[in-house]
Amino acid sequence: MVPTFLLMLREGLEAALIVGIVSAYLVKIGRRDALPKVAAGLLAAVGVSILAGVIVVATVGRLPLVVQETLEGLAALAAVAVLTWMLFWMRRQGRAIKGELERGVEMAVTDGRTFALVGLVFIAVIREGLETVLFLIALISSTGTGADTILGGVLGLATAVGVGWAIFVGGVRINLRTFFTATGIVLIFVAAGLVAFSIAEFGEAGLFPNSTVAFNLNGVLADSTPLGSVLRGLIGYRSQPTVLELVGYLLYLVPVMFLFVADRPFRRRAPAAAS
Amino acid sequence: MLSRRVLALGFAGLISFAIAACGSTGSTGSPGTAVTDGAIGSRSPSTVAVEVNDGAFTPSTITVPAGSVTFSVKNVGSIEHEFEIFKGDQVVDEVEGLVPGLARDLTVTLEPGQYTYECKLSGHEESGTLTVTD
Repeated sequence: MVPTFLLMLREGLEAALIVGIVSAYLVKIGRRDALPKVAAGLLAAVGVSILAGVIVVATVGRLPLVVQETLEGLAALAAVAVLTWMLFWMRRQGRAIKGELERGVEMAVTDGRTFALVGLVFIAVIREGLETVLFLIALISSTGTGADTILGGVLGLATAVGVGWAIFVGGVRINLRTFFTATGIVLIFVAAGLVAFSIAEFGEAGLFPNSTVAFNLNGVLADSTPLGSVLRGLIGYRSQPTVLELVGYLLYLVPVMFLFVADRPFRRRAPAAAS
Repeated sequence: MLSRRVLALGFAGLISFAIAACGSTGSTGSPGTAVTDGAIGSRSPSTVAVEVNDGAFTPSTITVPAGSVTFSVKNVGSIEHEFEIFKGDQVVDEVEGLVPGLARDLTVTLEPGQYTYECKLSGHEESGTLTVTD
């Protein structure tokens, strides 16, 4: 029961994190009206995943490895692109707000940008959605797994949803400045993790060799342990990354973090010297 | 308008999955799995039962004739495992998400050669040798 719980928790956490942050963000910038669209995007992604999973199982049984890994890699990169755009948009919006203004700030959030945020939610869910559905179908149709295994899976998924909900509620409560900074930093780690993940997926698809290990932290915190796999689900933590994965991770993380933090909104400086 | 866009996105996603699934039937494109005409296609596919426990695959050595092989992998251990077929350092095919008690089939077409099968989860060392004969 526990391994299945951990697996489903891990699969669900990253999507839950993004859905929670996007939803809280929309509320904080006065666009609560866009929340139903986020819900629609979420449900659409779940629906497509289930439908696609059923179709795959009913026809070919499974997707060929190259197809599966390439699709996952591309979806991860698409998420990175939208996340990066969202990060810098948040940063720009933050700079436009001087001081501690929270309510009554008219932010020009066009329908196009709302669509992009909904698109991010859609990609985040569908990314692991198909694989999760195929896993659940295998779980349900296997004779060697009992009700406790399936229960573990359901609980894991429910916990991930709960975490997303907690992030939403907490994000709405905290002040705007803290929210922007905290979620920005977290999302940079998430995006860096997705870059490393896409490299791993394309390597498995055979696009390039990807076997040289950079370091081995399995003795410290293996990403297959409970805590390690939660960190893996949230920010893409790998205890034994390859050189290419590590390089990709750092190539994204370092410049983006620098750009984000260096021009962090609400920086306290003398008004005359404000940028 | 937005909900129509979301719907369009959903259909696009669905169609691309379906096309990918149908368009790739019978081919994997991975190294070591090209199917040649004639003798290989006319053999009946082999099936191998594999168990993975915490620390080892049973059996740890497998020999099969080239062609279509179905590995029926069952996790009899206490934690999650995987079954990945490697030719050298390149993964050929795999089945993941093997939670305790779960059995999943992996059907793959293999050329003659030496392979290994491993669980590549961090810190796991389960591995075996796979020989595919002519």
